[in-house]
Amino acid sequence: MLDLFTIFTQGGLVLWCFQGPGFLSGDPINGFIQDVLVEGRGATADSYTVQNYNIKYRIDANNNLVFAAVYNKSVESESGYIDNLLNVVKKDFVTRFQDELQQGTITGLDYTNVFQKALGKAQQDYAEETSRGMRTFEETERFAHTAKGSNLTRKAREQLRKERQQARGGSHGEDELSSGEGDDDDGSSGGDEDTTTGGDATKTGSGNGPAVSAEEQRRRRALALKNKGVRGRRSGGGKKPRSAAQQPSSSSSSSPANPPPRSRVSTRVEPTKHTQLSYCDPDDRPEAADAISADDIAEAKRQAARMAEGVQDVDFGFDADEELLGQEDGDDDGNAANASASTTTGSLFTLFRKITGTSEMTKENVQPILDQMQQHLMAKNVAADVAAKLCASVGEKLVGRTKGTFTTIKSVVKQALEESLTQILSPKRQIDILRDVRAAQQEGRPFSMVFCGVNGVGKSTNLSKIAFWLLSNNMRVMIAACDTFRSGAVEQLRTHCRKLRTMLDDTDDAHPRVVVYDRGYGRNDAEVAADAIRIAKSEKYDVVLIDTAGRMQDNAPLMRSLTQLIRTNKPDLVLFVGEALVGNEAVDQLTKFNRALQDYSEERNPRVIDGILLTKFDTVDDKVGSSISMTYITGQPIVFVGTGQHYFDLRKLNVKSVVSALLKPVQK
Amino acid sequence: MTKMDGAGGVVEDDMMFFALLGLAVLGILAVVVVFLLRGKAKAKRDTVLLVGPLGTGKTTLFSLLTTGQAMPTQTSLKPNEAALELDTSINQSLKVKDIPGHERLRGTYLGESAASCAACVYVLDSSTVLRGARPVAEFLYDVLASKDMKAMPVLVLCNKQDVVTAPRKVERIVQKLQNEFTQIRQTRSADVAGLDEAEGAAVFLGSKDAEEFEFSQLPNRIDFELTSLKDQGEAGAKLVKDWVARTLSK
Repeated sequence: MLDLFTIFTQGGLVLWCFQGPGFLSGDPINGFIQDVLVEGRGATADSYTVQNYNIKYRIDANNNLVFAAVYNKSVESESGYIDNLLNVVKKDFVTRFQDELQQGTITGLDYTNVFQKALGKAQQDYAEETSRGMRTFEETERFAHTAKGSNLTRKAREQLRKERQQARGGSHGEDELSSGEGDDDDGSSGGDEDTTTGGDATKTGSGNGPAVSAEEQRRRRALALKNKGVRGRRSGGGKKPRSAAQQPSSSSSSSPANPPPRSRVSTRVEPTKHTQLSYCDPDDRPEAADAISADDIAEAKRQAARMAEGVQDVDFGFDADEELLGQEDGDDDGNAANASASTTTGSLFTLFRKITGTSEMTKENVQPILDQMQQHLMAKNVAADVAAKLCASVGEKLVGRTKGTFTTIKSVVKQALEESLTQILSPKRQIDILRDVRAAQQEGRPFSMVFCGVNGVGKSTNLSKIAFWLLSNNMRVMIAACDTFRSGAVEQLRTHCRKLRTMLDDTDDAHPRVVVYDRGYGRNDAEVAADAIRIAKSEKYDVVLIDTAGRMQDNAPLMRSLTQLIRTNKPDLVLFVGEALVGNEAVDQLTKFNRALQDYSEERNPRVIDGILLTKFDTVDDKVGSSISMTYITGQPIVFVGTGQHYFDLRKLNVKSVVSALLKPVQK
Repeated sequence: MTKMDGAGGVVEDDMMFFALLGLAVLGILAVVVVFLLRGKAKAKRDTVLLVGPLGTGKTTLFSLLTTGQAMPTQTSLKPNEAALELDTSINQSLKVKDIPGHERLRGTYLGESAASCAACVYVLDSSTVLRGARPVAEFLYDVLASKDMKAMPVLVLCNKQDVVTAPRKVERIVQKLQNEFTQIRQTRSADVAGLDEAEGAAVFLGSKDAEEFEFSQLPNRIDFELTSLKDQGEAGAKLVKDWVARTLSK
């Protein structure tokens, strides 16, 4: 049952909304906007669950509109029509109110009647679809992979495929093999497989066995090639896949079904056929690129024009020589490199057209740039998962938007990425420790902070830096030595304490400004912390800094004891100490720390990590990606940054400079 | 004749090439000029910014100012921008821009709009400001401390007067914010330094001699008004328009 269907601008103005008969509790839409659209979580799925509701949505980037449908998650199975409804309404609404949207006269749009019709139709269609029942095993593409399916019933399968193709009026022959579901989007993604992996259609043609595994092999090879950064791969390979894609039956039928494209394949492939059927030898590639004639280019352009209608553009490889983000000469259209290989004037024209043209940004022309950005982020030490999700969410924002004059797609993508990075690093709430300490003082209790993290990241070192900062603000500090595990940990803190007292010229032994509280080794750390807080309260210390033992995120007993420490002592701040050197591991550390704190705590609202202390920041130069990974995973701010070996080497993160460091070209 | 033709052909080809090259160079020059002009055009101060924490009624105020109606709203993801028509005309044509209040978004959008700011309306939720003044004051502090907003007139619009918990006297809100400011400026000036030395924003606002902060210590013109955009939307919009006309006509 549909509870709410709302259409609003990204500026937050609701243009039209449909209230279902049910009572809508809470504010699911605002929660959805803040979680998904602002924080960029759940960018891969187009649905989101909050409380009892599922929300599905579509974004129209061109008109800055969001279409969202809210329905009760307990009736998930009945709500299969919602995807369809969203697609229909999105298309209809945008065309119907095009003028109003452009002029900005957006008040009082009446859409109710049209919507009711669309809703009725979508529900009816869905009811029909489901009443048709499930597919039999023979109809699925999995059947095609069985020996029986591939040999005995090839004719039958082809028959079936043709029927389905006709029923749909579609032109994507190969889709049926690679993706049997074939909904609206699948046409293009199927084409993508053909073009990106491309090349040896003859191979698939000869062996009629498992089509997908051959496809997979090609894909892997293409990927390997891509990673090597081989240039000019498109020159020969780019054209073949297109013709292969236009030959729906080439993969399964050995006889030439469509003579014209077939012949093109043979002529085109001829010069390089034997040497480059598999693209394993990169040395040959430049020759192939040189061999391009004007005919080839004309042909490529014709092909590209045709492909604009249905098949996706070639995803050409990662160009190792090109500066990733500094240069604006991008790869907006598929035949750019072909053209540039031909003549100077041609390339100038292409460049000019690329800069001045206004065009819609599609998944095909954004994706290669996003892939580059992802590589770039990973080179900057952003965790792979995070980089992928980030780029996916940027892509989602951009696809469908029209690129303006005097911009390249690359610059638009770069700007969007910059915005996303800034968003992630901007703190959701400000942590003002001095202020919180004052508040605690007024309540007559010490402010307590727990430092946790894996081994050797610099918990004790940075704890003493923070102690120094607090001391220089006239606070009295107690350091609780709760690392009762590693030998030398207590002595390390005592040494820091002695040094700090010397620096502050603190000679009053009866009322020292900084003191270490310890009870030796082997004790329960939660008890030590509790004692420290109690004594700090009676002796009027302002801050208790609780140093814990380093622990690996997988060590269940130690994680449990940390949770116990936090649960029993209720510190004001739980800081996760992580080193800036960490790459992919950052994701694992933080998710597991956070999960352990949630899982082992028996409370309803367990305490999780409140903030991050990023250490060894001076060692990473401009590879500051770990700051993005950590804030993305937790959504919590980086409170401090450790930048050196002195007590005063403690800084606050500057969002702007970190973002610009991230976007700078990678140093070689 | 044939010879001549052939030579002419070659010359023509060359000419063609150079002509195209010349065109391309001109084109690139044009692009550069356009970019330069764009960069310069930025400095014009003609925008009334609507800023404030999340869910205080900025977008509602925006729709009231531009369409005359209070449209239903959701959390904003992007700024809204439109021309602002005042009842009494001033010499300048104005725009109004509604900056999203979400913590992760406002910094970016405020940063890019601050340079064009002519006046600023800071909207706050007066029903919660006494209990949770700290984030409200922190954001106002950021706005007032930013380099581009120095000496900009600010109207603090205390919205949601229709809620029971809202104080009916503006002095209470002013007093609360001043107390917060006193604390914020102390802790900020004692805070750890940033990674970059040049931060641009002022850390300490107001007079250093005075122990307690007061808004009168600032160079900005700061006014406070109470309103309820939900019940009396038109009156609220009129109040803002009149304030803008009054402030900017001088």
